[in-house]
Amino acid sequence: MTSDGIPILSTDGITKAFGGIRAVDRCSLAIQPGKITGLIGPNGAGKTTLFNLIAGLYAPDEGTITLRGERIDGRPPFEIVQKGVVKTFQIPREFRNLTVLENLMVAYPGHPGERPLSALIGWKRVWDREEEVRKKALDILSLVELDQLSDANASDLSGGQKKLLELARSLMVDPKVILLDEPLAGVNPTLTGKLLGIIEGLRDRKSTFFMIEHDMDVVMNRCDRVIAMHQGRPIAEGAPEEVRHNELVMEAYLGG
Amino acid sequence: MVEAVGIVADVASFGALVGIFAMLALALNLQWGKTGLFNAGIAAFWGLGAYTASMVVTNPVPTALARPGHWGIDQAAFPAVFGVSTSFTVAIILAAIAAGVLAFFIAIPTMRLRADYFAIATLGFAEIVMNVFVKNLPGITGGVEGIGGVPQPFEFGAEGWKTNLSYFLLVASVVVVLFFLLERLVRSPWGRVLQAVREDEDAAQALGKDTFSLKLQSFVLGAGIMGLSGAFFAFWLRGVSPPPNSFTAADTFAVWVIVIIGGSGNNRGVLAGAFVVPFLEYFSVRAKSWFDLQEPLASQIFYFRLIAIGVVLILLIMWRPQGIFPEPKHVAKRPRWVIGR
Amino acid sequence: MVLQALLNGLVEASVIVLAAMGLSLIYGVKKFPNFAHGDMMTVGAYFALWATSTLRAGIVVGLIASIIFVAILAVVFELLVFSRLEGRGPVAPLIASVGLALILQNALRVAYGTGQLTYGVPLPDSWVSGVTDPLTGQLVWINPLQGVVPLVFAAVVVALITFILQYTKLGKAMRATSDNADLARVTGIDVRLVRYATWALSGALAAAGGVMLGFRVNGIQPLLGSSVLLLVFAAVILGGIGSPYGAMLGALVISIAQNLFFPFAVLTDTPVQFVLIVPFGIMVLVLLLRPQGLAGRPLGFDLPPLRAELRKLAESVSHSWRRLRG
Ligand SMILES: Nc1ncnc2c1ncn2[C@@H]1O[C@H](COP(=O)(O)OP(=O)(O)OP(=O)(O)O)[C@@H](O)[C@H]1O
Ligand SMILES: [Mg+2]
Repeated sequence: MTSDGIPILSTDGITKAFGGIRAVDRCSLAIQPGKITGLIGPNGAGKTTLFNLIAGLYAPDEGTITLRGERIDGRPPFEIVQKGVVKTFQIPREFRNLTVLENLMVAYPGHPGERPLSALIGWKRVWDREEEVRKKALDILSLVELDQLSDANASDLSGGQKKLLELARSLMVDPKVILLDEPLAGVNPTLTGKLLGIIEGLRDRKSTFFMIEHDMDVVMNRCDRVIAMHQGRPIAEGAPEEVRHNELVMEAYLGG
Repeated sequence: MVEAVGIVADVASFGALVGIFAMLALALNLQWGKTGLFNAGIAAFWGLGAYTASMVVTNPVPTALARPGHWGIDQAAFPAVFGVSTSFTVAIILAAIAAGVLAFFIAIPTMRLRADYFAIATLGFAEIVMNVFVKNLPGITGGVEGIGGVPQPFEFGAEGWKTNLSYFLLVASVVVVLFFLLERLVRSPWGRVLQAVREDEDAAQALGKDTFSLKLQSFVLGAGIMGLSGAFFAFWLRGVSPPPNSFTAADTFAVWVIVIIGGSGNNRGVLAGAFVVPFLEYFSVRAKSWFDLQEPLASQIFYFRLIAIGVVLILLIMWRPQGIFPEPKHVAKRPRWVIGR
Repeated sequence: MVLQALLNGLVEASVIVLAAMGLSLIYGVKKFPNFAHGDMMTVGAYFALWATSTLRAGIVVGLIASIIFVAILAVVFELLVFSRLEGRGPVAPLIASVGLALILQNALRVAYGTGQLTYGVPLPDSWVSGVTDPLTGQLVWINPLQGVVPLVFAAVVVALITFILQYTKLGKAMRATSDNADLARVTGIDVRLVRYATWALSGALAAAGGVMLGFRVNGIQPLLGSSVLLLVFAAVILGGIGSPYGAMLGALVISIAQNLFFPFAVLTDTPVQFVLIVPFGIMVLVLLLRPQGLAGRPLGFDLPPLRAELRKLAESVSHSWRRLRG
């Protein structure tokens, strides 16, 4: 392996089985901070399951997950988010009956107004914070060009717009590590470029991205590193060009 | 004149019952309407509140040969303020706390279950609490006899209409206060995040929300309000008795009917819906004399009331699941008054 | 005393198993807990009574008539109510079934009052036979009519249902629909028909269970079925929802555990009414630790390992306690 420096996030031999299927199988990998790491692999390779394991939505059957030297496997998802790791869903999971703006605002971490007592009393500082949250949400919405739709019901968005909403919502958390599950699928080409620009901008400000992506152009040109996964485990890792020409990877894609 | 006074007494008593059910429905609307928790154990929280309050406002009664006794507090211990014993305030507060504590312990093992399992589990817990414990602890709860001789806060002796009217006003003002507090709560960021939990719990978790705590808060708060309602019910009835007389699954689902009729998620609608169940109750009691009913219809009318509830439940769930008043578009809104600088 | 408890448990299980299999079938195919199942049992018990007196026939005719009647009734429920709630998740049909329960239970109260009725089948004393427990030397009582009849009947019915589910086309279609309705549909199964058939079978089982329960407790009243509903749910959940075989196992475990409580209660001076805690305690424990039940497959949702789950539980409790205070 050509790892340079201390990884921000690493998994060690994690396994997750559903009934008989070992969706993730003794998987060990490491993510470098401040980089965009692409995750590729044929359908059913276990990429989404790996993300769910890291985000704490599933507990691994075996193995450990480490974030900056700290074990996070088996922690509840909300704690993992609090530690700075957030994940988007491959199939958007918008809050259907909240507006687009509210979808973002609800994602704001540690809102004092989300404690019943302070909400009931109605401290001024709670509602001042609410204003800040609204501003932040509107900023992020204009970044992903959804500001026109801020008052629309989230369920009324198109498929591509929902993908944008997923990304925007995760940005509300100010995450250090962002796990993006096919963030560009279904987003139109002009916006794709813009989104990648945003991602690269955030990366330059020291955010770490781990991104599942099927579009090889994106993976080759935009990712700093690439990990290829097959049958629940990484089979190649390195610079995009290296991985692209790796025999195992070509076999995995051709052989299915 | 006598007749007018009788009508006032009657209407006030009816109104108080409406208010008592309105509290239950507002509470369920928080749990189910906002948070998506299928509480099928309302009767237990209601009942526990009623029993707790009854014990606080009555003297202890030792078990005798003929009657099971119950716990109580020596009423001389409570000073009176403006001629009303402070025991009532204590009773109401303790009733809410008791129900809230029960909810906390029920929630710990059941909160993470799916809606249908949660319904079965809460129904079962309610059954255990009321039918197993409360009914079979003579010496503490009065066993199958329950607790009698529960006073009301304002007693006017022979002038029953004054007693009823003042009690109605008390209940009504509690409902009004509760309504505004709950509206304030659901229109806050807390209400917003509860709705997010209801709509997609996984997504809320993935965004860093502690959904277990949030659901727990909603459940415990709602149950506390149910206990509060139970206290007012015990005063209203001037006593409590265990199932099958009171605190049955039929009561639980009567509250469900109210919320479904009114529109789950809509507190105003639910207040309107709260008239339905007490009306059926009253109608079935009074119909006998109004229509000069003969037996067996006179006694069967109670069962027809429950049949009517069943029919309404099915028709609504089929044709108008959102209720008469659909859920308002949720926006967390800065209230008119805030505290602090 | 323990042997007696085991025997009683076995007999009780034979009644519960009938109800539990019916409930489990509907839970599997329609994906909601039918809260009206207990009252469907009661309807069955009363209908058998009505049929025996109107037709002036024996109880066997009454039983068969009742099975047919409740099966038809169940199909009507699907036709009028539950088929229209398809695709709306478990909550809408659950609420509708509560409404149905209220209607059935109170219609019976209107029609028959709240008093206890019996099938009036004579129970001569000589039918109650004492057998000596080889271990303790105590006499064990077995009443052929109230004990053996339900047991034998249930065994026959269970064998029949097993046969239907295992070997007939209908049974296979039912299992496929229960597993994955969409998949069943694309493989050419008439899912709608399967649903009606499931209701019919569930209704028939409810009626059979209701009549047997009426026998066993020798008293028919409007709360007959709903009073055992929680027990039946416990059996179904214990066995694994949607798994009729699991329901058998669950019924056995629950009933025997419940009957073993009685000697325990006598020894420890616990009020016998507390017995309900036993099945319910088992049910909650199973829901927590093994939501797929003893026999069932995972229900398609993820099941973290037990230890992690318990740790999470403990943590969230202490955490939420802090949150609640803070
Ligand atoms: N909740 C689940 N229950 C059962 N099996 C599952 C579950 N989630 C995933 N699987 C199985 O695990 C394997 C890996 O699935 P996963 O979604 O992780 O693949 P993926 O790499 O994200 O594929 P894609 O590129 O199609 O999104 C698949 O065979 C899938 O069927
Ligand atoms: Mg995937």
